Amino acid sequence: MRSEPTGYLSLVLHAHLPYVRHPEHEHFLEEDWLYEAITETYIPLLWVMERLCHDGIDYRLTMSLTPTLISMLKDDLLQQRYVRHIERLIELARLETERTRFEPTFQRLAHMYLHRFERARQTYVEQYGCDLVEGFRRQQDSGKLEIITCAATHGYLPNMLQRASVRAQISTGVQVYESALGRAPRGIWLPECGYNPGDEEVLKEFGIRYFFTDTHGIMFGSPRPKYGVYAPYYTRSGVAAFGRDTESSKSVWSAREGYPGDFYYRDFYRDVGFDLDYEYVSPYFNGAGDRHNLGIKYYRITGPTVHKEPYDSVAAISRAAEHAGNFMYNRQQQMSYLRGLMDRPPIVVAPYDAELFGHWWYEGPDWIDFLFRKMACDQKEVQLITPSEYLERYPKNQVMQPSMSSWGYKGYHEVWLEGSNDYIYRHLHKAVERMVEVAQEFPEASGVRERALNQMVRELLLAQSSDWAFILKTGTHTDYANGRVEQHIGRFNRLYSQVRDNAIDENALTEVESRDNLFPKADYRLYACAG
Amino acid sequence: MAKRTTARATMKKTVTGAKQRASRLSMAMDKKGLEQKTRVDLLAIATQAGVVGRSKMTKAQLVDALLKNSHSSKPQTSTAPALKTSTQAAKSKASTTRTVSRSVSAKKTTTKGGVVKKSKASSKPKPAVKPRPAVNERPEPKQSVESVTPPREVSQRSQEPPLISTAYLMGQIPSEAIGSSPRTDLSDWESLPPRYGDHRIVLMVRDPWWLYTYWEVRPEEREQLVSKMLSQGDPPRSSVLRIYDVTGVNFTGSNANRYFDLHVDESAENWYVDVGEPGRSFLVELGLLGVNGGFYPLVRSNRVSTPSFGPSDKVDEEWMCLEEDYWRLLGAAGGFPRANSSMELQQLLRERLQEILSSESLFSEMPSGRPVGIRVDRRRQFSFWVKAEWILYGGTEPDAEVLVNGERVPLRSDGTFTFRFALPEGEHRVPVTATSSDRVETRGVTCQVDHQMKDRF
Repeated sequence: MRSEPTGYLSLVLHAHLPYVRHPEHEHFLEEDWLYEAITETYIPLLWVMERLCHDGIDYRLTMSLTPTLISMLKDDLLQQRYVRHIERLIELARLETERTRFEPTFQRLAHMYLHRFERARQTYVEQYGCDLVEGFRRQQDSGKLEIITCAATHGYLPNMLQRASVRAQISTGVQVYESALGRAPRGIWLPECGYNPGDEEVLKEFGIRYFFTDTHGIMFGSPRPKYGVYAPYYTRSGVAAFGRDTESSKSVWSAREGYPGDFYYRDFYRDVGFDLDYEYVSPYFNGAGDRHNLGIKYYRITGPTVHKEPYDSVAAISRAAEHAGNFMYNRQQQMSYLRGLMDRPPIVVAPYDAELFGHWWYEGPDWIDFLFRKMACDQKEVQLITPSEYLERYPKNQVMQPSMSSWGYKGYHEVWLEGSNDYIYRHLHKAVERMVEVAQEFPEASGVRERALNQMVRELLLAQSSDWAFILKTGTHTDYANGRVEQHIGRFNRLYSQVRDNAIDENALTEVESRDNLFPKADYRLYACAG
Repeated sequence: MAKRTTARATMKKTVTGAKQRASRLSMAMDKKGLEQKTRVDLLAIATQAGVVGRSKMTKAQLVDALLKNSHSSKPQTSTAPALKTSTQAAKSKASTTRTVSRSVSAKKTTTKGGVVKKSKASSKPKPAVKPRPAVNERPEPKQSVESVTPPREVSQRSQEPPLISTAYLMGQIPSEAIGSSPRTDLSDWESLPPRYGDHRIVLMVRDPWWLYTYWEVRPEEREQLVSKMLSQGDPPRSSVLRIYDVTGVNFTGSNANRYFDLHVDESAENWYVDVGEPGRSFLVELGLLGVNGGFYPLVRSNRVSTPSFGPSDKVDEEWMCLEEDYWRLLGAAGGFPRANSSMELQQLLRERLQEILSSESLFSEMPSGRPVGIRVDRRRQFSFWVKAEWILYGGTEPDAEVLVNGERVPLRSDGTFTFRFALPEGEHRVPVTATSSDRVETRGVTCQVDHQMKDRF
């Protein structure tokens, strides 16, 4: 047991992608979301953890792996397709090292990418046998990483009116976690930090000990929180809530003050997919052959100008080290200020989307690496901790009812409930009602009917992904999001009628099962108690 | 979709790496060789071979599966797929030294396509719901799926995906065909019903001040109500949403704390309601208003509560918190400077709390933490750019050795080769030589280019 510091820092990375798996198409654009995240975020984060481990650096990190992401990372077809994807990237990088022969600055960068992609492939295929969940699991078993779960398909809980719906999302999330990681999850990331008072009872039912809310979820809670967001609170069900600290979040992703906008960091938007001759890069495009990012980017942010300077990886890395030092210094100041307001060490909870690190902010994983090393070697005031450890150390906490909230724009549900996406809820709510109805009507189904009922669960859960509403709101890929809602609701309704009429089209059912093949243990009986 | 071109630069061969991988993942399956490998290696091979359910297999099961896999289906090759191009190798006879010199002056204006939209994905906003299949689909029919029950069984595999394949150099996507195969068509399974034939209204909370409601009304119920109103001499004037404040009340239909009405279009099926009051409970009724002012409800909603906004008035005795400290902690959480007096801070925060009504959230700077503001806004930029690349191509005997800049380059199966260079301004030269496989003959050229871009204006 380490001595008591001035305060604790809990870094939380939320790793999530919607289920994008399209076996019916050979090359599918949206599957790239997964492949990019693997190459740019998940593998680099594993590299960081491995390096820290190898160097004997003691750190603590909390990370969610959502059930849809776990399912994709474990899926044979997507694993194969990722190998194909990374091999094409390697090949493109190799062509780039040739093409840039007369431009040494760019040739160096091409070699950097070639090396990086080859290493990613090696990590993926040879080190982890194509199963990255295994990689994270090893880190968790080493005691330094705590993996938490999430709702099954990242469904936005506050917009679910039926308790059965929330129960199915949570219990599936717990079940997928257990079968992938070999133990029960202690914590959960509520999708989009969307908290609806009462949901903690469902969390309790499935053995979850803590969750996170946004700042005002705690600050506007009742009775008044004695320690602000710098300590957890027990809800009446006994599940603990941790509030997000805005100050530390801001320094990482704020448009104005955030680190990722530094002029020496890599520019995300200047990608060879757009910058190079169409005929040369087009063989590497997915989907219909439109230009899209390929992952090789040669420029740094440079400034608010169209003109961009070539990327200088040495300069960028030293900026990452500086920023890590700055972040640590600010936390030390923050902790000593807070310590003066509290009769125990504060805990600062800083959650981020995992994909920010590496995908958007290329140097992000290095920043984490530097931060953890500095914290371990250069100081004692601030200690890294996981929420579980904090609760073990400080089990006595105030009981409080947090306030409805989310971390979305404006702090409530508007991102997922507005003109572009509100049409989906009448269908989602109806589907839950129908699911409850057939679950009660056929408590003992078997054979094809049982298969159809369980597939209905998968379609319903997929339709509930908060991602579709989010995509519709942001206005890119809207056809895809609308299409996904139509697909899952359509398949659900068709199966519903076939189950009711006892006229199940087994061929079609088999096809639906092979397309939406996640959650093999989905059980329609989850919905039998309407609640 | 533009035609995929065939011009491809050659790859700098890291032959060794590729070879090693090829041998490691080689499909020349013999039991003994397989048993000597680690489980992780076997898994990697199984991935290449598309063995279903491999991640749960023991080492022995993997070996069996791989052996089975190699005996069934098609013969597998470990090298890149041989391309069926013409074997009449183009015989290169050029051997003199030439000097190419060119100056590029831009005449045509092209605008740069594709300013990247900020989104999770990297692409232009081009929907891909039903994308056309990849251009170079294999023409020959694939075997149909023999799907059995479990959903884990995904379509058949064809060949292993090739290792780094020179196929791309030919502008052909190798026909690995992972996944797509003739399938049961589900397109008529994908639609949203316009209505469900229900008679109901549903209420949701959007934030402390706004509710959202949607409804579906059975025409016959409405007609019944209209006839009732007519018979009571109170013909319908308009459709109305009546919003009841039922905070702390067990609502019976007439005991609400207060209510207000919103006139809604006949055709509307949903509505956003500004209740303007955090921390209250509401429900709504959709009904008809008669000309004499009578209200006739059609449907009643569920009950919802808006969250309170701002610090709670309740204080826990055991966890007493000074007013001043609360505001300081709130200030700290909001990322405010810490030097302020608590009164000043309180004032600041109250102002910020008001702001949330209009625009920015107090705490959440952005939805889900996508970095913003790193981009240059190019909306009012007229962009124009021209770059040059130099493409060299040629051919020799397929078994000859070709050196470009002193480095060996791979040839296509017909002995041709292509490579391209980004061309900065200035003079550049590239020596290219070919040596016959018996080392008897060597020929060479030096390609030279002097490239300049001149501003026209």
